Amino acid sequence: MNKSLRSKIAIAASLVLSAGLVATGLPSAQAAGIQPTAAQLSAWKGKEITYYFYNDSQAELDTTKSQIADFEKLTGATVKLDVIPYTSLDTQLQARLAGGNAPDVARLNNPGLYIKDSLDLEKYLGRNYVKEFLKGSTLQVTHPTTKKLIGVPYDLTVNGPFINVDLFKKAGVAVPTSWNWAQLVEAGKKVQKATGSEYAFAIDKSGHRVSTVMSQFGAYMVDKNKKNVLPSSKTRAEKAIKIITDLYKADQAPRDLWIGTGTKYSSPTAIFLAQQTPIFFSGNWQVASLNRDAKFDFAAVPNPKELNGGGWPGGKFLIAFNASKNPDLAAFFLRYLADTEQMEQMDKNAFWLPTRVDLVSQGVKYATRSADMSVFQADAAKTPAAAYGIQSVPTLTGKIYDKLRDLMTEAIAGKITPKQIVEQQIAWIDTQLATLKK
Amino acid sequence: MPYLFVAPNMFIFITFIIWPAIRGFQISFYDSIDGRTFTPVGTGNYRAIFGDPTVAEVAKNTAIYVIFYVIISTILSIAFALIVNEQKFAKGFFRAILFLPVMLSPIVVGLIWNDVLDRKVGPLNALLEAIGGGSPGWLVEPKLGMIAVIFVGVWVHLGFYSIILLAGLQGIDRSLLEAAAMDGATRPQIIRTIILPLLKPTTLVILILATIHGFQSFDFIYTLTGGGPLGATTLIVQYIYDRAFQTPIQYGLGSAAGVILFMIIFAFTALNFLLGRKREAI
Amino acid sequence: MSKLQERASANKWSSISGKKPPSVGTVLRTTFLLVMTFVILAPVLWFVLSSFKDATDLGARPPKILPTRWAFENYTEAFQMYNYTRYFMNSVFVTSVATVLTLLINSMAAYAFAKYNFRGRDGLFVMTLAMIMIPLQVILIPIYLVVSSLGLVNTYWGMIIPAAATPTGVFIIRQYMLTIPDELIEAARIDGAGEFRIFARIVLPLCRPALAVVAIFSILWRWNDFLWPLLIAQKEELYTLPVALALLNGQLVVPYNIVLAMSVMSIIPVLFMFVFMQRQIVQGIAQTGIK
Repeated sequence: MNKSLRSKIAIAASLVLSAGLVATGLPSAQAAGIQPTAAQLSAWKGKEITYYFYNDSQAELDTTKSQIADFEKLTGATVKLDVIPYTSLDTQLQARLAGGNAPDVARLNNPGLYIKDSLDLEKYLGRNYVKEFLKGSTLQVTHPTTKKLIGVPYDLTVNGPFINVDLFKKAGVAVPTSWNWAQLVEAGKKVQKATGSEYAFAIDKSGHRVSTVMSQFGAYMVDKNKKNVLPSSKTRAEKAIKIITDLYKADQAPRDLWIGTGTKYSSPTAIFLAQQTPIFFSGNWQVASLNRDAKFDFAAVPNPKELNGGGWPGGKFLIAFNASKNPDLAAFFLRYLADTEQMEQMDKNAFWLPTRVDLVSQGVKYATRSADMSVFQADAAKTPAAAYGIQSVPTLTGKIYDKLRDLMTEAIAGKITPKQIVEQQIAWIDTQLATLKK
Repeated sequence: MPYLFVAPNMFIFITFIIWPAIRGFQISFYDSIDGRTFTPVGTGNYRAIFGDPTVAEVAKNTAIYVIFYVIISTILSIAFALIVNEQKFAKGFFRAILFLPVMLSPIVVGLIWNDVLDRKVGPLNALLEAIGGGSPGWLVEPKLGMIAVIFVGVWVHLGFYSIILLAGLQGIDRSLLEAAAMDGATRPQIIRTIILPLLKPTTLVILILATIHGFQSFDFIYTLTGGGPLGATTLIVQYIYDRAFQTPIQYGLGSAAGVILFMIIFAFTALNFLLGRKREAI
Repeated sequence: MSKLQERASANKWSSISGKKPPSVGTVLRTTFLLVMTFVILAPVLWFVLSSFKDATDLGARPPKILPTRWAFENYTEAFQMYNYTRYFMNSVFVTSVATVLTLLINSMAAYAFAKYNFRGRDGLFVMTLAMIMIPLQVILIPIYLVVSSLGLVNTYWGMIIPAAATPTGVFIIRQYMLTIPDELIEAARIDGAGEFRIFARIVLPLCRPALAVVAIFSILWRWNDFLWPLLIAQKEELYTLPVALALLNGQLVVPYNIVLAMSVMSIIPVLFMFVFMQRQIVQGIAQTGIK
């Protein structure tokens, strides 16, 4: 028998074998059809790949390490885990790429910047691989011209509010099951007054989070055809922005945190943990850390509904780099991490939302905080399609969000009005979209 | 033979400072968003910098910071050097205290003052409130932010300059001072007419060092304010850093700004040096 | 009345011990020094105290001076969750090797500049001085590109070598060497000693104060340096303390209380060193005659 026939038989055999394992429902890591072939095993033995990684929580780091250990046993290769601080994620990666020192795979939240460095996953994982994931979640990792899959959606994030249940109870305000922004602000202020907490509200200093509020008022910035749609939703955007800037200007939300940190990212998580704000608008990735560090009862509550309900999507992605010396192994590693078994385990431990079609339909059973995760999942389902529009311009999302954030800083400091924010943001989006034509 | 001695130092120098500096100069005439592909833009970056209103503001901030930093640092360090020098009791203790901030990492300095100057939970405002001084937003009002940053900058380096001046003071011939005292001169008179003039060369060194430090200030400012509030404390080095490390990445622009910064520092240093030379000649 | 008696009665200070009252100058001076001590020590002490506070205390308003509960877990977590010992050892390693290297090559270059006459000497020296003025951020990316093309990225040497040729070091040592009489060197040459021997056995030992100053500056700077190691150290095993601190401070959710604890722990070694060496530092600077 010649070599290629042998390997074909090996592949076929392993597929049959793994199908059999799936059928019997064995919960081992080797189940679900992610067996490397014999040929691959011999090629990969002793090879090493680098995983450029950042984590939201300790749970995520621990699970990653244990999954890497399993992967190493499975393939005989080694994975070097490089943990990078979130704030220097892109800069360090750029430095490495510039220095010819690219990692093999990376976990990112802004894959758009690396499209031209990414590995064509369809070549290694097949054209149908993309179908394993939710349609909306693959937009940001689809090559804009070749339309091929260049990354794996690792988790789905949904923005939304957390509340300090203890403070709410103390103030006699009921935990909301549905509300609009007016009610949210009123509840926050009421709890603030009754309990003496420093603030009524806090939101991450981020254009991405603010977009959630805008979406609920029916205002969007870019649509799926890469068009600037903010002009047609000007007044609604103003309304949404004004709610946030008013709270911050009046120092009912942590004004100092927003203004005093310059170009650096800041999150009021510490303020929420110190119980100085009853409402904390962030997203589901906070659940793991809050679960560990909060010394009070907290809960995720549904996003307020104005014109729309639902949250705002985001996510983390895994991509492999075309500079990798072991592209086959790298692609397989991505597939491994994003496979049903591994993704389910990670979702459970780190309180993530799945991006796989099979996991979404069967549901992930979280050991604790399942109520919170259900709230986020429900909001994920309710998120309007228009919210995904901005993902049509993956290389520009960072700049658009950052500009929005900077404009809001100026408004909070009293230099401009929400109306001017919207006008300047429109102009900015236009200049950014124009760079695409070049 | 001397070449052998000089070689290791020069080799590292040329490979890791001179060559990259030349490369940086080269890059300033290109545009690059990833450090790998370069598109030539001629003097485009320089024109962009000179025509950019944010650059004007950054330049203004840098000028304000450097001027105040240098003047305050020089005067205060001379004062402290004189004072500590006169001190008989626990001189070593005070010298050590002075030098303490110099030893802290800039990140730690930023963290310390971030905490102390916090409008709500910082001890400074708690103290001010107790004596009825209100609660200024040191890190959130643009003007106060600049004051805070200048203060912290001086706080960090004061000891460094003072120690150098102290060394200079020790180099002054005691017999001169004793003779003047015997002639009936008062302490302040001695300081003014003998000590200060003899301290001039050291003072010049301080001025030059402070100017260079002033222009290069970045690490602790970035940790303290991130360049805020509203860009009030964004100095030129941060402008360069942002061009290279924050999206949108623009290496060419950052390099051009770096070249300009180098030339400014060079000009100031040369000026300082020449003025100092002139005064000595007279 | 005699002049002395006049003065004595005019003196309003009735002192029991018979000592002279403190002059205005002394009072002013002492006040100044005490204020200075407070302004310098107070923030640092506050910081150290803060490292023992938990999240609620840190957010308390108005702030309390002492923690209500001494949160030692800030420190224990720093050790458990983060590889503090490793970062510490890395810092120690990089700092000490870098300092030795710096001393070696700087003193060699300074010797050449001070005691030899060779073509291009002055030009090279001026160039060396001019380099003090280039801020690292300006040439960060080009240096990184050079370092990575030499394969030094992600290595200890990559962190140590590039910055070892410090212009200030060369300057300080040269200044001091200028004061060493040429006759000494001439005499040794006549005795038949080799050039390097003269340098190592005769000149260097005489330069101790200058070497001490450069050593101390190098230690201080390398221990606290974070920008360059941050770029070079691309795997956790290489992280030095400041890199680890920057890492913590840059996480999506900053464990602020641990950042504080680690910062305090990073100050201690330098503090220690200084308390014992501050005399040498001042003397060293004095003797190098910064003129």
